[in-house]
Amino acid sequence: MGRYLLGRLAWLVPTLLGIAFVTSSVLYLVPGDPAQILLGEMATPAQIQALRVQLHLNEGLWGRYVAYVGDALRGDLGRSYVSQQPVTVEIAQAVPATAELALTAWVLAAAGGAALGVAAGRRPGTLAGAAVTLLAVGGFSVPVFWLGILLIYLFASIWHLLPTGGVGGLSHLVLPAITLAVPSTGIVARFVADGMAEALHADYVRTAAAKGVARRAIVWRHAFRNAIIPAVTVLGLQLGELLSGVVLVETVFAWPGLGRLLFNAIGQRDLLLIQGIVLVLAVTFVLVNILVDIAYGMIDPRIRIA
Amino acid sequence: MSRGGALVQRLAFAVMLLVVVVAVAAPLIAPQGPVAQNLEAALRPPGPGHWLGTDQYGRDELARIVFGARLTLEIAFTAVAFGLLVGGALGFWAGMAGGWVDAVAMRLMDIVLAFPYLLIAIAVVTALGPGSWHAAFAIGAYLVPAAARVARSAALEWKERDFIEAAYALGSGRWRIFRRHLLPNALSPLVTFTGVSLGRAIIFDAALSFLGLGAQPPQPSWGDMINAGRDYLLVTPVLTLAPGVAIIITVAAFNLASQRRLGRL
Repeated sequence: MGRYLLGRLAWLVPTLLGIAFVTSSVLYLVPGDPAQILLGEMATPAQIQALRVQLHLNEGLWGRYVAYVGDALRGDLGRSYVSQQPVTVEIAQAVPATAELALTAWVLAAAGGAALGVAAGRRPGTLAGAAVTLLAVGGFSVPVFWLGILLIYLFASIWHLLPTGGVGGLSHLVLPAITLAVPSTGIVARFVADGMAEALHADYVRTAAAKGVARRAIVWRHAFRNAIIPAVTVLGLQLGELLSGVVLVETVFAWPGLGRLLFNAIGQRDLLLIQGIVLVLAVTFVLVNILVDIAYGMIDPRIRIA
Repeated sequence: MSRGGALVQRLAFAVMLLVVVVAVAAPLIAPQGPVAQNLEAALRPPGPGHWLGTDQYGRDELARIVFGARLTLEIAFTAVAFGLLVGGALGFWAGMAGGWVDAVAMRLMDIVLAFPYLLIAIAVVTALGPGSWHAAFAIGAYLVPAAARVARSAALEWKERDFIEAAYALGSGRWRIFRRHLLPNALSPLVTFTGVSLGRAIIFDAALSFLGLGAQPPQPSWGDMINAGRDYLLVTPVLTLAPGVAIIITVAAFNLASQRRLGRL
């Protein structure tokens, strides 16, 4: 186990360095002088020069990259040029909202995916099976931001059942969480359904049935437990995917998290803020995926031995 | 594959062709073009003359959808071509060469695969500046590692077959073997990959342009049309709904047409 853990963690280093390379290239590739863009037209040459030094703009790509990684490790991601606040402060303020939304969506996807998957896997060819297929196909064909707007239109504008966006109480969480959860639900349901269908044809199920175990116990105690193993990995990986989805869903629902902060930063060309948010979200994404891998290795010994 | 699955696939293929024909024939279907404004006829509901109504500038929504198909397919095909060429070349090269070349190339691809695609695309397009070609590049770059994996596994599958060993023994060079023997045999998984990737590229392009990072107004980009239509959701919801339906139909068609295993449930 120790070796497996070390192997997984060792992967972290090149991946994180690669992500930092992409985000630190942003300022390098921006046409024109980023210091001028950040400070605006009214800046004095002295101010621009000071910012150029602070952002390491007088160095080459490699020098900037090293400096950026060094600053980031010390918790310094620069300042937003719009609010003049440190990027880390802006990000810290937005993290709780994003965490709340992503985790709720994740739980919804797990519960909904498992329920639908079991229903479809138990009796192939029924309505539940069609629903799972539809959801799975829809999950990769329906743009999540469009789905969110559609739900706002139906549930808020037409039926007046739920608020259109913003925060405040559970009712504000319902639509964004469902929107964010739909694609993941389809994928999880598909895996559970496939797993259930396969498990119910396994020898141990026939043996259990032959010795008179009730159907209900067979489904839940035997088949379900085996069927969810692949679904658990997928579910874990979906938590990482949700972090990409929040950018779009938060924008649609005016949810005050990292995603909306990023959308606004893009609109204002707030380069350092964009750079910082992408870095934080991407690093979280990678960390979550590695944690999932490690957890999976603990659950299923076949993985870490192979 | 079940009979139902085969039917779905055939239907999806027909829809896919239809979308391509619409994109190519856009100027014939909507001769007024996607940017012709008529402020007196703004925000009209669907009806004769404007089958999907008009937007806030009086532009015909159907014309914008039709020309949007052209724009999105151009971007998607460019992105996939880039991903296939770079990733495919890398994958075939790694697979045929083997050894440390293979190990290094594939480890590098593993690292890139661990990146969250949309966020990295946002970073790349922010750096290059918004626009359809930058979006296409960002999407194509994301497709590179997956394409490399597909090509590499095809190379590994075929490179030790007798007929390829025989070709080596007869003195064929590597390039000739690749072109005459490996590539034709490896085509099938690459075709599937292309179809699925086109679907993904269209979704990413829509997401980027929804965020304002894709094709810029007044270009008729589906994602941007959805974003712009939000302001008029209560007046004419069709402005938001229609481009979304266009995306769903197109992406589902590309995906379902190219998948080999369908409808198990």
